[in-house]
Amino acid sequence: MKSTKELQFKSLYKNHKDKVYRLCLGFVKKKELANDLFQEILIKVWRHLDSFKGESDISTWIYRIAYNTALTFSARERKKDEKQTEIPSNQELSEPENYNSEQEIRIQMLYEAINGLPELDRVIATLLLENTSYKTIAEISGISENYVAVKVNRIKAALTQKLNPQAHGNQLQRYTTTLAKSKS
Amino acid sequence: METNFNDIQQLWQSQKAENFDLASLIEGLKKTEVKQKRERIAIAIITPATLVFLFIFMPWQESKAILLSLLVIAVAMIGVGILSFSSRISPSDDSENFSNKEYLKSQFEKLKFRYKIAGKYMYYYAFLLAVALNVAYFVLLAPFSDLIRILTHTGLTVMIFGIMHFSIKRRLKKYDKSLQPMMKQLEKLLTEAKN
Repeated sequence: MKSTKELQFKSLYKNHKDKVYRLCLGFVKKKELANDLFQEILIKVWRHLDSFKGESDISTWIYRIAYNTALTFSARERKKDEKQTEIPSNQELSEPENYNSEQEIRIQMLYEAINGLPELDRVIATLLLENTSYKTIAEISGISENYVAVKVNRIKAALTQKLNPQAHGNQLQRYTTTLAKSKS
Repeated sequence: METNFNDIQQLWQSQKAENFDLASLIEGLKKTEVKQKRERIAIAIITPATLVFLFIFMPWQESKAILLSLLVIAVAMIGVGILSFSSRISPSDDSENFSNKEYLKSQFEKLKFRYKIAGKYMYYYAFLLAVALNVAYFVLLAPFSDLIRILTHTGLTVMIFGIMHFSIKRRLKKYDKSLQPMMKQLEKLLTEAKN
């Protein structure tokens, strides 16, 4: 028979898995690492589940765990990355399974753009992409709502600029060429 | 192509999580929980049990010096137990309670504290252990000549500090490789959060 904790955990997983997984992909470049981070977050959610007292919204609670874990995970991985031999930047990108699919390439470009932001801006960017309110973003990140608003403007501009071909040449085409070269 | 933020949002939200073997993960977590519980119980039992053992078998009623020695050992053991419990065995890392800023700060402080345990508190522990054992030996070696007593006390003290010093150095070297880069990165993130 399944325990209440197990049932609660499964329900949380069902409702939040996509958001948490996207956050992982926004934080680390490699897909395998994103899976490791995803698992680490799930482990922490399970461990802390008994201590959830319902004082905050469950989504905020999960996000707190997820983002705090992602920040320390990213700090740990950066340390490992520095140790490794330098790899050309195009090799570091997680390669979409079907790189001919335009949608996949766009998503990769978006991850790349988010990955290029400083870690704390990544937190705000990914929360913003999930339609999270400024109040919740401020609560999770620990900065004031006003400062969140300032950061949001900068982040929106930066992401739109990076993903907008009209203003910055055909990045999609360049990206496809880079991927094709790295494949061959 | 994504020309405004709403399009970017839609693109982002179109990504779904891959299938994940949740059942195996839960199974593994349950086993780990049982193991950790056992470890915590063991620590909670081993320290008092060792002290009870020492108080049963050492003739502390016969000499105040031996009683003092046992009390010093008890204080040192309880101190080390508390330190290791709070730095490593504690079940929560507070990731569920803290904002990013607070969490980064707490993680940084925790790593700093681990350095402090290895570099400072272990020397205090060595000192207390050396005092306790020397007091006990002072009583036990009473029938022997002064030379033997001095040599034993010196040898014992040098041995305790020597072993402790080398193990501390080794641990700090390991920390320099594993904890130091992470602390630097956390410090950078904290500065970023303050700006």
